[in-house]
Amino acid sequence: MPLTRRELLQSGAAGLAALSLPLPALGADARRILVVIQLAGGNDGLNTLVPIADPRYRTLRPTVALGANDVVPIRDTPLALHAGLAKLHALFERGQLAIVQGVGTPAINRSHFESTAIWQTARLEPHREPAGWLGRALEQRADAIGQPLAALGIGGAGTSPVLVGTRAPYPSLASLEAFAVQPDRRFPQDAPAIRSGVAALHANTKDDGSPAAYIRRVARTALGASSALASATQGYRSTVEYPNGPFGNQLRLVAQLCSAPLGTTAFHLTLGGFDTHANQKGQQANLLKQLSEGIAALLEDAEAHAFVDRLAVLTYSEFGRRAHENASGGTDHGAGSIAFVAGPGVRGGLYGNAVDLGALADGDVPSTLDFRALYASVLHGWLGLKAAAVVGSTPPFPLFRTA
Amino acid sequence: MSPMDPRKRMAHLLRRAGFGVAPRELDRRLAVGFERTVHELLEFEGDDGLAEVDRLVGGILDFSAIDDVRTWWVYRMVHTRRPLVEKMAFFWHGHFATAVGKVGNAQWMAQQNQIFREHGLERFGDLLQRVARDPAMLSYLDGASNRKAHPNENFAREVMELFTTGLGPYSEKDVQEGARAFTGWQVKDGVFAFNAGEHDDGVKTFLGRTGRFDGSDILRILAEHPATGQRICQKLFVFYAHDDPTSKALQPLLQAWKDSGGSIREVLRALFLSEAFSSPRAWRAQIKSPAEYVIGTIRALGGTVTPRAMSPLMARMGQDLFNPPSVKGWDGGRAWISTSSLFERFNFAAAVTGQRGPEGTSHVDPESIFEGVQPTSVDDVLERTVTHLLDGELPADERAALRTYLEVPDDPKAKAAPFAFDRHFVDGKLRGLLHLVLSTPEYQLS
Repeated sequence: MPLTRRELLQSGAAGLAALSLPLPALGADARRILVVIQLAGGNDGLNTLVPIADPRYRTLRPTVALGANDVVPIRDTPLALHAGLAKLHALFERGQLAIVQGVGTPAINRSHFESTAIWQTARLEPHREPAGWLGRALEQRADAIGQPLAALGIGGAGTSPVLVGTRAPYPSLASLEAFAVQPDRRFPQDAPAIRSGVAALHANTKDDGSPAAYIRRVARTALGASSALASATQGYRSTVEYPNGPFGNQLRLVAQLCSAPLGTTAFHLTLGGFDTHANQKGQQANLLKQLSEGIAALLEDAEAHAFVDRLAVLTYSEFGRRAHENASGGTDHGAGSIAFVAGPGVRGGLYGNAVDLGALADGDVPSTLDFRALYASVLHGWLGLKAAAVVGSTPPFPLFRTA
Repeated sequence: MSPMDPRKRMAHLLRRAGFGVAPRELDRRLAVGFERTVHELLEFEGDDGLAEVDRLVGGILDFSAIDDVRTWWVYRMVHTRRPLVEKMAFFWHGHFATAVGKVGNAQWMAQQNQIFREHGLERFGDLLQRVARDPAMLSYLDGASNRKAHPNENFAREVMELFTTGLGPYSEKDVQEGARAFTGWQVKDGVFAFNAGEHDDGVKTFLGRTGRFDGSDILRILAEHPATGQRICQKLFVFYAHDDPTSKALQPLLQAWKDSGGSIREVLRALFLSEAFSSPRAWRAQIKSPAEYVIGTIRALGGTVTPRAMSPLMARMGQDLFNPPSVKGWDGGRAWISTSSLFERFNFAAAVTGQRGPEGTSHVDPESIFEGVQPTSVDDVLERTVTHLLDGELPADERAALRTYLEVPDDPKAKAAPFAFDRHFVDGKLRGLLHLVLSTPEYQLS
């Protein structure tokens, strides 16, 4: 049963901890899936979940403020979601969307680089220990160690820092093609000979502890995972429409991978462009629309492929933006922001403290909910992992349905 | 320890002290001899062959964009006649790790890289003084916010833990006292500026010494500390030779450090001429970094590729130049090898050996490794390829796999024909063979 709106609106991070119920021991339910979406650049929380009824909102943002037609109201509250988030709003109405307010890092760091690293490692001094929070967490599972498909970064260059463990990092797939031997297209008849050649070069299983033996072992794992991916994903067909562009394509790839019996537990994707120092309105609207329609498409596709009950989606951004607009029709780096958690297993509702524009912290929407509490809730409540070992003692809150 | 075959030893030296061997380079170096080559690497004073790319800086290479700085460095690593200078710049980039992601100023990254190039072989203490005043470093470790009332301990801590003595010789109190000495070290208008008004000129007690120390004094005390010499010599040995030196193997380096007042050039001379460097323990003991893999391959194949295209590929393999993942630089070693980074290497091998553009564009000529002599059989092709790219040594099963590949026809419908080193073979099977050789486990090793 979702918490009442009043409870939710009134409960801060401490309140949430007090409310938390004993969570069910899920054990190593490897079939649950977490899709993490990074909104890179610092998403403006104040124009995501909008205090539309507060006159101070328009005073702070004469040009950047959204009007009544740019938002979808959240019933019985003074708040509204950006109209680009219409599909997330529909999820909220169905009780399948958690909106986490005022989430951020305890000490605000306005550098994209530093703050992103803090979020991705869940360490307040991230440059001393760059392993990612999900990479470390998954190492609690025996079946995720040495299994390269247990977690996948989708798109981008190189491995996602979030999925770097203290052992080998989980792979990053720009596409299915990039995670496979690609012979010279000019000689297609020769391709089988190249593929079997690469396999034969790494076939010797004798392990004398040498670097070459180590490379052979990783190569065999890679080649095995690559052919598993290729064959398992062949049968995927979908009529669901994803947003045009790379982000939509990446979400479709996630659905394709989830529809196959690969045992992948976690995915990480990035939607960039949220650093809206100038001309914010159009840019953010476009991005939030992609986000909302992309998540809705993924859930719809998951339903069609019968894995929706195992799916939860989490979004995060390195910081929010200043409450005051700047002189360029944009906003500068701020503090607390909004996170979403979506899926049928989620206890929909508003979490954390609603923003109080009369109580800004040095011009910022303050960070009132430690991001590590959000991670703890997801690790514990959804993936059934020990959160304290990963994020410290920050207590989780009941973000997921227990039945 | 048995001495290495001279060809193998020279190729080993050129991989470690530079970025690998170009066609025809090995014979030229062998004629000069090992000791003389070491001397040339250390003392090279002629034309470095890079005037062409340096002229482009400010023109088509715009150093306000980090990708242009990367392109410039990749070009230098491929084409330089002073490979050790670029290799040392690469070493210092990993040691004094600074990331453009935080610094946010590509020009400063280029300036720092130039310090490593111009001073990387000099006395360590001098290099340390320069790096500590470098705008990129000051910005990366928050030196700019190091004020008298609020000393910032970030630089003071890292300069000891990572750049000089390592953990052990100092206490938290030394970190705090060191931070006081660095107050007022700031960046102004893009250059180092000492702000006397923000400097704490009081008495400090640092590593057991007491005085009215400023930042220079602290750096001098650290550079002269015995733990620093020990640590830098050890790190140089691990970077250039292998990761498990005995104290006997380190002895010549430490002696050179002591005799020369910390001259990197003299430590390297002792290292390259040491028995341990040329021992079987050192040969193929390391996993190539992405930069070594990519640059070494371009050099070995004697081709021309677009340098701008190379740094994103290295980034995908796990080494984003000018953007190391932490103040500790890259972990290196086995951390370079993951399931996705191996595919990046395999597919780089396919892409680079498939460059067929006309000369002057992106072009790799697979024949160049035969240095003008036509091979006469499949075995001859295989033998000479393995000699050029793998010091002539490859396990029998891998050699058999390569031979099988060469013998499988690339057109199943074609009639069996005797071996001919013709255009079809060179453009097809020979490129395929190189793709496979660059994908062997042994080729990932240095």
